[in-house]
Amino acid sequence: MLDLQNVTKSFGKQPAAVSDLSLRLAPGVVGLIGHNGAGKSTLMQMIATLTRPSSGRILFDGVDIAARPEAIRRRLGYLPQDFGVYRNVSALEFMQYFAALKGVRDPARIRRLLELVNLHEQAGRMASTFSGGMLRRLGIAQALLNDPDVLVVDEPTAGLDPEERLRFRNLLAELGFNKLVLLSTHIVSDVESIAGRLAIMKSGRLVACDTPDAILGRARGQVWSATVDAFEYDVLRATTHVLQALRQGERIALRIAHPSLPCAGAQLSEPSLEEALMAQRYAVNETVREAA
Amino acid sequence: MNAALVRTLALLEARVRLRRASTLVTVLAVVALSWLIVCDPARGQALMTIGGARVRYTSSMLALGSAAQASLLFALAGFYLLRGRMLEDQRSGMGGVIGASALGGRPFVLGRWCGGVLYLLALIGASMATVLACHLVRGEGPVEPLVYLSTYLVVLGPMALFTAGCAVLWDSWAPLLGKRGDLLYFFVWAGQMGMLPALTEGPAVTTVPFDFSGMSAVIAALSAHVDIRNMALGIADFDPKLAPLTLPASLWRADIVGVRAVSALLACLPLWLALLAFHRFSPDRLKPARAHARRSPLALLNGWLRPLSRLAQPLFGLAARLPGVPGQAMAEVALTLGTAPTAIALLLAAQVLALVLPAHLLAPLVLACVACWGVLVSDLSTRDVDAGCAPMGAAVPGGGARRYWRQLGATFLLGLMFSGVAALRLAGLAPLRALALLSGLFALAAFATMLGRTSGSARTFLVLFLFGLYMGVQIHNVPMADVVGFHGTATLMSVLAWSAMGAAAAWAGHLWNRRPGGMDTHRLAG
Repeated sequence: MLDLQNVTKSFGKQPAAVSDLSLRLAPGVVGLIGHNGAGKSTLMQMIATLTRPSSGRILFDGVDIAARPEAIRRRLGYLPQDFGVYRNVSALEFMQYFAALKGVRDPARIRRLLELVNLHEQAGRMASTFSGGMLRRLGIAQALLNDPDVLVVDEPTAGLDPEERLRFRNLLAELGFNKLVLLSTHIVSDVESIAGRLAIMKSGRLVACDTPDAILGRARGQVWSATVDAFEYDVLRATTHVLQALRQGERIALRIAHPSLPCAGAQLSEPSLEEALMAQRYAVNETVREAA
Repeated sequence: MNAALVRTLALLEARVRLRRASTLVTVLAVVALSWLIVCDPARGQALMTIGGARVRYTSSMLALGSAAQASLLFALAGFYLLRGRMLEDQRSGMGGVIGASALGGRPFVLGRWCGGVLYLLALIGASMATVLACHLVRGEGPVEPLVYLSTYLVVLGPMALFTAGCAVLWDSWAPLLGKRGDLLYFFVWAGQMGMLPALTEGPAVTTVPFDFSGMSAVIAALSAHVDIRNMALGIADFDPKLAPLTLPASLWRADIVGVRAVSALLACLPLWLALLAFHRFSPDRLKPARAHARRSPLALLNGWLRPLSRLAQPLFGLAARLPGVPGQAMAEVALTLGTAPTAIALLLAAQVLALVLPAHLLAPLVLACVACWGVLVSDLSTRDVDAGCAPMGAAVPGGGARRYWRQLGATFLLGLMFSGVAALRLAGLAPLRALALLSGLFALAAFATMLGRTSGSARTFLVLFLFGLYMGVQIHNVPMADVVGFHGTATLMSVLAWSAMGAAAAWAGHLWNRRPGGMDTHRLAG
């Protein structure tokens, strides 16, 4: 469905925001994970045709969307990370406006979508008075107006309370049954239960793209638990990758990513997805260091 | 008070403002305007004429004439360029950070004011440099920098202090934040201009301290040397058979300079009020003001007329059915009317009046319609970015490139909706006038969209529009000044010229929009 081939995006003389990234995406929920500044938003903006790759190609059903952006725009839903609403516009009018821009003629679709995101009772209310969660839901309803095949949502759960996050996660999971939902986040728990694949980005590069199970599998045998004193902790911090440190009285309980036994008494542990991803990131660092 | 802190804040403010695209647009406009007003006498027009005779382009004449023109422009444009910084702070969340810091309110407001004054002085400096360049090309005497400096200081000094003071006051006092504050200042400015005839009537012309524009000082200085009853300042025709007049090198009497010094002191009054009224970004003072925003006359009216916004809803359906740019332009029209029910009421009233008013009242109606339309559409091309909807609006069919054209189309379409019936009636009575109205609307729509897109601020167009509107009403006999056919002096050439300028502006905006990175969302957001 989406085929990214050696995509690079640079802004002036700054280091490339996205560097030589290749990725094939099929329907389902794909979690795009990376720290702040990893290049997730830039990649999503390129897929949403807001900006063009400096080099490389993005093919949608075989068509280069930089050359023919209309090929994807009619089948695209996009929810940016930061967005707002016009003042003095009700939720219904906001939806009507975007429906008109997208050429959606069926007024019933607006009502159905407002029901889907549970905003139908607030349709006449000024959208600028909505809470953060309601705004996000309105945003996703807007993105779904044209029944898109590709839904690009950038950090959709940022700033939401736990209940809203759960609601949002479930909605995206349902949409992912027959659409490509590309969801960027740096909160692993947002995607671990719904994403069929995880694409991990670091400094503009694609570090890995695999199923959560495969990523977990690669981390097995590399995550250790140990309880140490403060002196040993300092040593381990310098020689290994400490994933977590919890003080327990005078001693410190550690979770460590390391290819072999990091210290006496350490025991192999089952990694969580977050730890697996962090271990993966550290492994990349090591590879880069060795290559250097 | 910490002088170093105020200095740092002031320099920062001046830098922030000087780096904006709207500053570049203004400087280019000032340069163009300066070359335009210091017209070539060989073509039969001059900057100043008295009794039909032109006044020689000496340093004192060029300094006085250009300073008077600059005062008109900068008193208006300067305010809109300066104001809005505190609203930006509030929107970005930095307002809360500033409010919670140890920084005192007084140095903060004073720093903003000093920065504003510095910025205006920089713009005035650019204007003076352009006139000096004009002097080198068209001057009729030596360049005397001290004459220029003293004239600019006397005429424009109090104006700069007052304009910066108003901008800071308007930003510091919550009820004046927003569009209604913008309109209020326009009336303050127009009021200053309107009182001039009363001040300069009578046998002895005197300057008054509360005329911050300096126009009464200009007239008083001139009246001591020439007969000002038949004086024209601006682009004026002269009789080449009459001998040119020469102004003396020194125009400024001690009494005029003294009054201007008092004006400078009085011009600081808004600053003192700002120091007292500064909200310090306190939610107690800003949020209630926002909540009470519905109680402002316009907001209250919009609230009452809210049911009228339903009339705009069928336009959304129509927009969805129309393909391409027309459909999306219609969506923009529907959104514009839906968010401003007062505009729908005015629109309906305009149609009724256009049908029932006698023919001789059509021109004032057209002018009123154009004025309402100009204010309404001033933020049409910037509201996507202002509201944070730019990326979503660019990810729809047509993308960012079509957005520019749909906004231009919507702006023009709204103009036609406001004055279309009047234009149709005019077409039967005075076809050229109707043609002027159409070409004027197109040109203004193109400039509104282009300036909004290039400067990223609705105020750039708003200020030039209001200034142009005021000047257009005042100037009766220049075809090019009759942009929308109000006076009936427009000619086929002026209609064609405005059409061509509109097309050029539309194309320039398109090229700006299409430049590398022009449609990138990070730039849109910025």
